[in-house]
Amino acid sequence: MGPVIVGLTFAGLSLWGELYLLGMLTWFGPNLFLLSAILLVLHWRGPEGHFLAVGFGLLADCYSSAPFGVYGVSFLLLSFPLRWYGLKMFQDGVLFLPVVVAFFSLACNGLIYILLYLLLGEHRFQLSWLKDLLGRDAIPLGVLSVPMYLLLLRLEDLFQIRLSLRKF
Amino acid sequence: MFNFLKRYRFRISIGLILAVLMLSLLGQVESRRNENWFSYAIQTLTHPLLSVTHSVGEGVKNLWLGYVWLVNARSENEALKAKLRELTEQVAHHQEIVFAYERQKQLLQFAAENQDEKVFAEVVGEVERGFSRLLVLNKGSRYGIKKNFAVVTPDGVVGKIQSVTPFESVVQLITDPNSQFPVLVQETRAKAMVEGNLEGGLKILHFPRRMVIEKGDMVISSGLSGIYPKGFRVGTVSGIEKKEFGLFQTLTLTPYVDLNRIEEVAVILRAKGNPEPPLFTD
Repeated sequence: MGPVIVGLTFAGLSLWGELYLLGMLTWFGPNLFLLSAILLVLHWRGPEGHFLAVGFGLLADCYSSAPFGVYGVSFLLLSFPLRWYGLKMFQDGVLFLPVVVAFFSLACNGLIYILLYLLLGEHRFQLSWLKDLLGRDAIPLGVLSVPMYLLLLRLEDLFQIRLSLRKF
Repeated sequence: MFNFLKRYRFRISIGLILAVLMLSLLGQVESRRNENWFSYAIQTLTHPLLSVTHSVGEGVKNLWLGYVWLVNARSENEALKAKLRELTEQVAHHQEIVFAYERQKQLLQFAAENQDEKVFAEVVGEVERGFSRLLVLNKGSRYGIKKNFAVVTPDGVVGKIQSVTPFESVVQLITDPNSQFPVLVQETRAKAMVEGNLEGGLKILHFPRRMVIEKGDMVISSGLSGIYPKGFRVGTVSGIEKKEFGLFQTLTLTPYVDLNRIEEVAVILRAKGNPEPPLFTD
């Protein structure tokens, strides 16, 4: 029951943050669904992380104008290297690591998105896209990853569960 | 087979999910984004959450705007009050112009309707001494004004010129205790002498007892004194005192012109029906 509550808490927080809180801030736009997926996959490390990633991706799809499923697929694909990283290298309690991972995950995701946009569309590259990607998305995501990760650990303590499957 | 499914259940599930999502995406390549039950369900489920959040957010926002944000409200309030005072003064000034315009318009109309030869003057002073109350006009003998000339407004009689200098003249009001002149009751045409009283009103001491008079009857100038032209309104009967015996009854009149609010007057230089100047002029 505990993991379900943790997952639902993160889903609720992401929805609330994305739909209400961040709508008021034009200069601060981290993808909370992605951040939740990254943190849960990194920390959980089990195959359930992929399902969680799909779930968060579909939540993001519900509030997007892109074709339904784009975020679901991209989050699912992203969950594979993340899980690998979580199993092989990620260490619980080191706050610096989720910051770096979240930052680079979103940066990579954004760069791929921009590349696809350039390839499929008829637009020319603009430097402001990179500026927005870094300033509005990636850096805020990195900043938010610390409190979100601490929240995850706090929820684990609160419900007396251990999501992480890694044994040292 | 079952063991295979059980062993690879995660991979199979993930593969199935990926396949479904890819098929869904492929289905949307040529068309616009499809609406689907999942989005519908999620959006329906999140609606109460958003409503509550919105309500709470609005409450917090109102609290912030209503109290915390008002830190600078005091100085702003002071500035606005000062501005309000300034604007109020401006409005009062403009209103004064409007009122003056209305009065001038009334006087012009009076000048056109009344055929008497007259000069308009402005009340520049007011003297109250003892029981007498005098007005000072800004025009004098240079404009042809002489002693005992009648002073009127479009509403009625104000008084007579008591003294005059080249540049100003002093008016004795009809309510002055020393003022006395003949009048006419408009309805019955009964003649009488009206005089001022100590209360700032008018009275007729010797009005024939047999004459029928009622409160509210209009009293006008009779023109017999040679000072006030005939037909100007003097006042209305406000009180009738009839003793048990005697030949006369006493009437109290309320001046028709509000003598406390006079700003412009007309001095009659020569009445149309009376080619001679008023009696007793210097």
